[in-house]
Amino acid sequence: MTGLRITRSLVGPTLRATRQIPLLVGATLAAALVVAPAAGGTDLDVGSWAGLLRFAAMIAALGVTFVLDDPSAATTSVLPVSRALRYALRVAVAVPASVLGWLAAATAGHQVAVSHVSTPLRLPALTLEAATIFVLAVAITVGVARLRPDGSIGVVAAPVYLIVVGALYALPGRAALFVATTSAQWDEVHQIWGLLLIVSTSAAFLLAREPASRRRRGHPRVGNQTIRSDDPRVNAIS
Amino acid sequence: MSAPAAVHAPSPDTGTATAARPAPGRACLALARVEAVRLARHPAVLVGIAAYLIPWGYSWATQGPAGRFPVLQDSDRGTQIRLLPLALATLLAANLATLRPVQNGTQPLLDVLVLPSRHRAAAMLAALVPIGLIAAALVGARIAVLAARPGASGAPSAFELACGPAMVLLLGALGVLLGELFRSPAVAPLASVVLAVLILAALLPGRLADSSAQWLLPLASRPDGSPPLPAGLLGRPAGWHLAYLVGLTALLVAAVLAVSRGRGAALGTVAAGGLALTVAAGVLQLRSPSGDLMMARSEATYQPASRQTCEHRGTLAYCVFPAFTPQIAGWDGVVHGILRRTPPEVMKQPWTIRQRVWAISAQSGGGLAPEVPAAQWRADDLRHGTPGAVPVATNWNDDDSVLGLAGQLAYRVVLGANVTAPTGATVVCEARGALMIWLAGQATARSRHGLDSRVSGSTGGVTIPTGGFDSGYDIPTRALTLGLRMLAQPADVIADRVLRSWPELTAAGTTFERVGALLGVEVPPADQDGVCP
Repeated sequence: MTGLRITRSLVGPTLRATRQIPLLVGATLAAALVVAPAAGGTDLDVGSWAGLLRFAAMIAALGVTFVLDDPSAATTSVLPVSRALRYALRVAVAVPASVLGWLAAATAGHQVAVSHVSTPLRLPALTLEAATIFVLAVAITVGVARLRPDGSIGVVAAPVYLIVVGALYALPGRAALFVATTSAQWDEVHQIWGLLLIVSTSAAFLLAREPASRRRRGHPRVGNQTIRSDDPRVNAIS
Repeated sequence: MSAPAAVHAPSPDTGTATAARPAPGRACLALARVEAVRLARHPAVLVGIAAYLIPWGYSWATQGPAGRFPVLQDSDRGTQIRLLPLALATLLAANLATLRPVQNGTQPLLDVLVLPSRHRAAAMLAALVPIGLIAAALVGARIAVLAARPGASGAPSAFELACGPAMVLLLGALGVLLGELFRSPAVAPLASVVLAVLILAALLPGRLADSSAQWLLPLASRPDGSPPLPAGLLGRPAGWHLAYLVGLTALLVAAVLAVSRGRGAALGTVAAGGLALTVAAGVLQLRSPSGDLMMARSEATYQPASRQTCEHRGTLAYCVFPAFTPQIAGWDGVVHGILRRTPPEVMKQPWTIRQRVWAISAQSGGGLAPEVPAAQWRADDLRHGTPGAVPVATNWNDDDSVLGLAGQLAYRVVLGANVTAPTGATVVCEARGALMIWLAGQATARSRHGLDSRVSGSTGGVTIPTGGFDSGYDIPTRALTLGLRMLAQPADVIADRVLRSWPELTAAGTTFERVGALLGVEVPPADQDGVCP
């Protein structure tokens, strides 16, 4: 069975098994947070709209922390499909809802900024922040998944995500990541956001690899002796 | 190995069971004790406590403005937003504790225990009380440390202080209720993030921050930054808000017990009492400020002299709103730091320093004023025999306020004691502008720091603020640069030369070149902006 065929055959079951409700609720709340005041004609300055968009990104990404929840983890972990592929498929399920939530929020924010606010909303940089927050949520969830072999991951990943994002939000003074749209440090800070995106992505990929103990367990061992088959094809399989 | 002793579980169907059944109250208390210890040791709660302590420690370590000259009627509500992480953490931890049997698959086993589910729910709610006490201890410690600081002024409101721990209990009870209602661990994180966003969004400048509707949220605290008001002008319905939080908590407690199959008259009473308190306090806290309060605020803004007391030190008079007297110790150094550089006839004038505050605002009296009411102040000062009183803000914790007092005193020292307070359109050119910068900058280390911060944050000159107001007078680039060059020279040397040439330096029309020659300072090139000739 080729990798592509395995992936294709996994899509349906993964979609069925992934926890969708937190994702959909998160994305809907995120969109509503910006769309509702925009539709209601709320009088806010550009900094406040940017603040609402950031909150929307945080809420939308919260649902991602539940996508790796898998009550059948004890059985799926022994399937001949890599952990990275299984996780990637589940994260891919989360992407459309989160992207749609963000798009709705960003479009509403953009409309208001164009019609009411004189200073620009700086949407590309805010989208970078949102993408980083999303990937950060994925990295945290994948990291927690290594520590929770029973498959109940979101119950720990969600609070950890909230704490991490809350801590990033509260960074003071020069260390602040969520700077005002009028800040002189805007470009400089968004280089750090870009760096954070790269680090989070790398961390997510590294953490999604099979744990080293399992990879080492390629050949069965008795004491210090590794048992190898005489048939090289059998060794190649493990 | 001996055989285990036979355990006779009492059957609920037999009459003898009642006598054998352990007292539910004691079992409930024992369970509450265990849950309280688990809650207090929960990582999320520990992070919440750390989130309270870390900014405090950071401010202490960096000697930040938060702990300098604290105004306690402002600091009391400052403790509320600091407790928000702990309150949200309590929501999450209490929810996870409630869901633990579901997560561990032990729910069916609990159903056969003698302790009914309503008692287990009551124990879970009771376990929140120690977390509330921890929150109260954190608040108490913070306000005690601030009150013990030299220069602390005002008095904290017990209602404001109690609102933070009440919010922790409320959100904890919400976590338990969500756990009883929904078996999904995703609900509490979503609820907590939505609550946090609502609370933080209400602090964003805009319609919600200005409206009284923000009082319907668990936390209603205007952002820091605006100068504090005298306690009598605050008009915050903190007592009603506390009653509202208590009523909401009672409602949630009743809901938790009802969901866990609790019945009885007591539960009905708690629910009815909670509902009545929530509605009554919720409505009362939304009332607009009374006419008397609005009048008092207007008077404090435009004619503050009659509401203030003055402390006389030699020829100086320091006039403050009641309870702000400890700040005078901070002003004294700045005032002497400027007057020591002036001729004796200037130094011996009866200078008055008067607190100014902008108290006209929709909700809490905060916000920065658009314009200095110079004419009203002048009339008020003349009525009270203190013409040309120097304005100073009600906060003395940030260096900008220190620069404000230094700059305003320098303005009057140079232009004459009876000059009207500068408005937003006032520009001081030539030698006098440079002299004001030098006088203000050399007064104290904090005034110099405030000047440097202003200069680094502005282009094309600098605005010297009027205490408590968002406007002041402008010093254009060339005068600012010359003033900064004077500051770079040894202070005593420049001071001697300034004293010798005082009449010429303070006269209108003295050119920069002449100042350079008199003081021995290199003159910067002419301004390109053309603000001053």
